Amino acid sequence: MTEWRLTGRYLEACNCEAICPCRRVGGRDGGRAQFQLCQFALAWTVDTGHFGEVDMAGLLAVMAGYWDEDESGVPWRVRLYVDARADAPRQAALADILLGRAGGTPARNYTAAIKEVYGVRPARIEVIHERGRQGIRVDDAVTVVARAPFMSEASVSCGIPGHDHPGEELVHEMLEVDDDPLTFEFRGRCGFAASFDYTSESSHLRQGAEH
Amino acid sequence: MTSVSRLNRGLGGALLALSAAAWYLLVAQSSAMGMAMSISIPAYLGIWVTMLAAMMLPATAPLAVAYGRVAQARGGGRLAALPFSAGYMLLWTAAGLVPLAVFIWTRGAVASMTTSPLGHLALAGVLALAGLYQLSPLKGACLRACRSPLGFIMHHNFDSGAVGGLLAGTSHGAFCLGCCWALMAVLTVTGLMSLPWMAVLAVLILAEKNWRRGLGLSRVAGVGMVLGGILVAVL
Repeated sequence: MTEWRLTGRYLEACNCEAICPCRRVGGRDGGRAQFQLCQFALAWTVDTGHFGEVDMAGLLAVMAGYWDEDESGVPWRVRLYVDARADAPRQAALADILLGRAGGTPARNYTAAIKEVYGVRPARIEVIHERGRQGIRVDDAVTVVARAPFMSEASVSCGIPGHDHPGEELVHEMLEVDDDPLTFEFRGRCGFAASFDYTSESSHLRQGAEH
Repeated sequence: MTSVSRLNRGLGGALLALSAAAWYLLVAQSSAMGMAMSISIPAYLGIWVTMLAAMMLPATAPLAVAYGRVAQARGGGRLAALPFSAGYMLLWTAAGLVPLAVFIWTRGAVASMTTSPLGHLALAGVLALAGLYQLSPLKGACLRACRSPLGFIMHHNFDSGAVGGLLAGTSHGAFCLGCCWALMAVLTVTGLMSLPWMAVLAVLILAEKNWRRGLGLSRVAGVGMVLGGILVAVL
């Protein structure tokens, strides 16, 4: 399997109220989503990275989707948007990594839950990570605008970037996804900003390398 | 599709329809306008605004739609994209007074620049200067701002009402002016009603702002314009 690594910044928004009950807060594991449906938009900005010999720095990707807490196995159904500025091999690499087909950290963190991919679509993506002014925009399909950080003394982490990358809980002004069959809009719900470091290595090998 | 999306996409479509109608008017009136060497100020402004609507609205529609969505989420009106577009057009209309002043100052000579020896040199000079501006950091900064609807929205805390929309549109118009004034200067010296030039520049502006390789394209166009200016001067 191709050796790869992506590092960068992660931003998400979902329909739970802050702090999202899925988060690990102060070392205490999260649980069920607040409502029956968890509807979300996740964004990755790759600051440095490679997929084999291919440089991946500067690329963007957004995943929109939902899961139903009452559905057996709680499967995720998602659509992935990959950076339209990238060439086809880079877009394919982004999709393979973030959908778990290339193994590694995403496969361990979250992609096992993805049971249906509505599609992978190249799109014009904007992601702003500036503190207090975070936002996501994908053509006419996804709009996320942050309102402010949600102040918390406890350390907050999310399983998607990984609990080894604690970040900051946010309150969003708006989360809007409009790309059939994903259609939802929320005001004043939660979000999360963190860094991420995804690699093709298994956690066992990484730990071995680190020690 | 959500109601907010449907409405704002409808507004985006309305802006494009307005642009199409403006193109129709320009094409229908082109022969009459091309022959008119002296026109009244209201007629000039009418042409200028029609030309702006035709050329600029398609390029700026994505930002107007994005602004409308966020302003509506912030409690603004359902038609927040409209005052935004009005503010944008107002700023560009004001900018149109500059070529009008030049037109009056030169007593209409700009209208026949391409056919007089002096106009030939002026065309070469404007093409070269506009090309150099295309390569400047200021052009790059303005173009990056125009290419980032979300960045514009996140860095401008305007009130979501009609006045806020008007101010936001004016502010975006200022970035757009910084981006496109040199291209419009080229259009002015080639004759305001030159449909082929209008079409070429409208496509260039649309691509610069919305195509994924827009930044690179603006530089290529800049080099092309400098070379074109030299060519016009030599020939």
